[in-house]
Amino acid sequence: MGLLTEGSPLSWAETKSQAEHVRQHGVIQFINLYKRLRDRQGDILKWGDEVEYIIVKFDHEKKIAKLSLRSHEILAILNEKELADPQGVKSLWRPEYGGYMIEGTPGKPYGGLLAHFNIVEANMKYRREEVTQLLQPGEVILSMTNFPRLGCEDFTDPVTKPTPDEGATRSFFFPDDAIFPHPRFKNLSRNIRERRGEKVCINLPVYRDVNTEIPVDDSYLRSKAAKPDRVYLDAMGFGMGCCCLQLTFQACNIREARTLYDQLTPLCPIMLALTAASPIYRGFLTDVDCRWNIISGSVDCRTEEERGLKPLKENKFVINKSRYDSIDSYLSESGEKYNDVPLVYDKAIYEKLRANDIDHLLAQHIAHLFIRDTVSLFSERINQDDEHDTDHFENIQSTNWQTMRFKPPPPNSTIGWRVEFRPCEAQITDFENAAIVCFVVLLTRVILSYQLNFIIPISKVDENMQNAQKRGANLNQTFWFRKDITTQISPPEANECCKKGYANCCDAFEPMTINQIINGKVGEFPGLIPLINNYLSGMDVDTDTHCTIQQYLKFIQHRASGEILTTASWLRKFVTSHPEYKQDSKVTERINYDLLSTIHKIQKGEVSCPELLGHTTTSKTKESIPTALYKESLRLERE
Amino acid sequence: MEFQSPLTLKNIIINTGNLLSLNDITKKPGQNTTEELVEAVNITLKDFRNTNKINSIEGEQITITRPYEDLASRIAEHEINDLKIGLKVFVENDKEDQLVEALDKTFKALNISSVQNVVLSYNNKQSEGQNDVIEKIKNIWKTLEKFVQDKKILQIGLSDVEELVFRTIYDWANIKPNIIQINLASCCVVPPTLQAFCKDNDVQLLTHSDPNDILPDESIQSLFGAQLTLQWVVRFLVHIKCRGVLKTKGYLLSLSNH
Repeated sequence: MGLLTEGSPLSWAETKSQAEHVRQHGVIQFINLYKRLRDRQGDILKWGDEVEYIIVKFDHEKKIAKLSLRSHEILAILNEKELADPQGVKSLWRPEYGGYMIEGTPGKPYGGLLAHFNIVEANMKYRREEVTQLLQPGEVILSMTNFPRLGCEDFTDPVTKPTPDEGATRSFFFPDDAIFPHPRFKNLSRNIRERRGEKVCINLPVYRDVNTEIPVDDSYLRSKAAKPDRVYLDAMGFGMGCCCLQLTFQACNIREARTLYDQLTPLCPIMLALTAASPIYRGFLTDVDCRWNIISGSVDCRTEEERGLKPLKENKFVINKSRYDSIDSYLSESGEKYNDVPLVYDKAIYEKLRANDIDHLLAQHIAHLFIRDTVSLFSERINQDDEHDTDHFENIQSTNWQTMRFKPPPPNSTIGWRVEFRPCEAQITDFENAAIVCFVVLLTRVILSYQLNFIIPISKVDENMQNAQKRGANLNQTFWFRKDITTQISPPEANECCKKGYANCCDAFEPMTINQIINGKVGEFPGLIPLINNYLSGMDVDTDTHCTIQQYLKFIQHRASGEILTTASWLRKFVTSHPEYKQDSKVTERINYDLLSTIHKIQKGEVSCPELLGHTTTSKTKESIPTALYKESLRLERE
Repeated sequence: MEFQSPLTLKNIIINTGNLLSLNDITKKPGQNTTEELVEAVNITLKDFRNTNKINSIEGEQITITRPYEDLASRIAEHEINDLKIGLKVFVENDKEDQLVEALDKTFKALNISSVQNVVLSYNNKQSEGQNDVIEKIKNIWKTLEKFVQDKKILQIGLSDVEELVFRTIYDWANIKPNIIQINLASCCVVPPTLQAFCKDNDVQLLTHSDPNDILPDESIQSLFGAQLTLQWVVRFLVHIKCRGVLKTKGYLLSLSNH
């Protein structure tokens, strides 16, 4: 998320009355930018990661850990630093939904040399250190997907209270005062709730241990929406208050961006399962390992009509997913026949895009994004110059929070067509986060080099997304995956098969484990890491970078094979083996304190944790790339 | 192995073409360099046999290629300035004519007039002493320097040499090595003195995973059913600049039959 608009947010009634205006102008803005930028060519690889952090405040005497609501104070200092030297800063900091959250990215994107993979972790360490210096005694920052006791009584510092009868959220658990103080966030919460016509509602299956009590608490007495055997969550903050690990990379042109958007889509559930890191919600161990469906439910602004619970009267569409969910259609020609779920899209917008020479696949993608209303509008931004502004397009685009995002170049910039990869959960250490982002970016290079094809029917990706979130999915679930990912010379019988459509081509994909997908299956499937290693053998890699990448890849191999635990499994194990745990699924103040203290020590390297990280976690990451390579890269760019 | 006719010829050149378009190779990413080369040569020989291209015989030399090969067309998809082309030459002797032939044949196969870098791997098959190795490498280096002077190569480097050998060549050479490749297949330990030397002299310290003896005698015997003599192997790697994309990869090799 970029720097936030200053100004006055409109009420939901006002926003709603402008929804059609935003939609119409947003589409015109897209058409104009597409005409300007469709033929843009020759952009080099640039990429960057985004890591979100929570600020935790320890009370070491009382053995309590809370969320510190000081991110606005810390951000003010960091943003001042950026404003003073926008080109020179090594990191950029942005607010996130929670008043206890902060998002950091590298100051400049990484480039197309392999040596850039060796500076990622060093930059992550720098960022963590930079914020740490601004913290008060007892405060730490953690890259942890979800604070285990989010929404429990007095979980913030200073203490804030939920306001079920007034304000933006009206949650029984999540106070409005825990939201970041910029008006955008409260406004989004209120608009989503008002648009939906009721509070958001998430009922998570509790992890049933021997002493787990059902009903889990008295939520079902307070709200009809709460189910007695579930952990009930009723606020945007339960989802958008989670931390993610994301990355964005620039493609050489729009075609490559569409290809990578499609090719990475089947990998979203795989990476979600592999990075699973959030099994605890509102102080309960649950039966899910990931944040995904929680965020999805937490911003689900669909009305009852749109959810198919009532016949359509006020609304135009029955929509099968929240605006935060897995993508709904492929964008490249090779993906087209795998778009097997009927796409809900605005026919008039589609026709308008088609009339402006935008192809079917891109037109239906945009027309699908634009079935959503704006849920955040500022009075100063209503009237725009559609030739040059893209705010209304971005308004809808940036509130379609999907697994992948296809991003047009921003106006008046040197940036090209980009793709954002959004499914991963934040890991505890910089080593892990760096390993995951480097793995994904390396994979994009392997896909382009070997022209691999991972595409499976979009319905199967949806199925995989659900399986990926189950407890222990990384080891216990199987995922639909393409059997043959090579594309070069198909034997005639395969061609025949494909002509009839994938439905008749039953051997095109099959269930595989994460281990088989990552590490390979002898004689049947090459494995993503062996492919990356083969690619690396054909690249010029300096010795330090080679060593670092090998450590990252080994770490991912071990996670995939189960030799080491996912973050989610480790968190479960920590809780269930804690002396105070009563086999009742409850994560008490003391367990929470010990857990977060241990995480902090692991992150700092004060405590080793081979069952989570393996045995080698010190990479050869450096602050800058070797001079000889840097000089060569300048020469190559000049030629 | 019923690959009889070429064995009556004096010299066989094999061009595997672009391996990235061979699914059978992509599906076995775990192969080491020798296994990959053997499989690529096998596929090339098989494809060639099925077509019987007689016109590939010139005098006493036959050039074996795969039909429907996309090497030149894959390269031609890009402006030559957008590509970074690197070669690694594996030789077992210091004969100038063989090295010149290796480079000329490769330039011709790729349809290019120059490359960014060439790394030399000298296979010390006779277990010569260090001084002999240095002398051999110096002889080869002189040939490489001529290519650089003729602007056919931009940068030259050495693979798998002792630090002392590298420094000796560096101090002696007119055109200094810009690259040293070391084999780090199993560990991450680079001598600190070498690291410092590379840093001070802007030498790229790169890794590789190639065996020194890239095509052992046993492999040649099993490929051809005869003990041909390996003269040289060139691996070519074509990258798209600043995008981390490998465009083509393949091998050219020359064997003699005496």
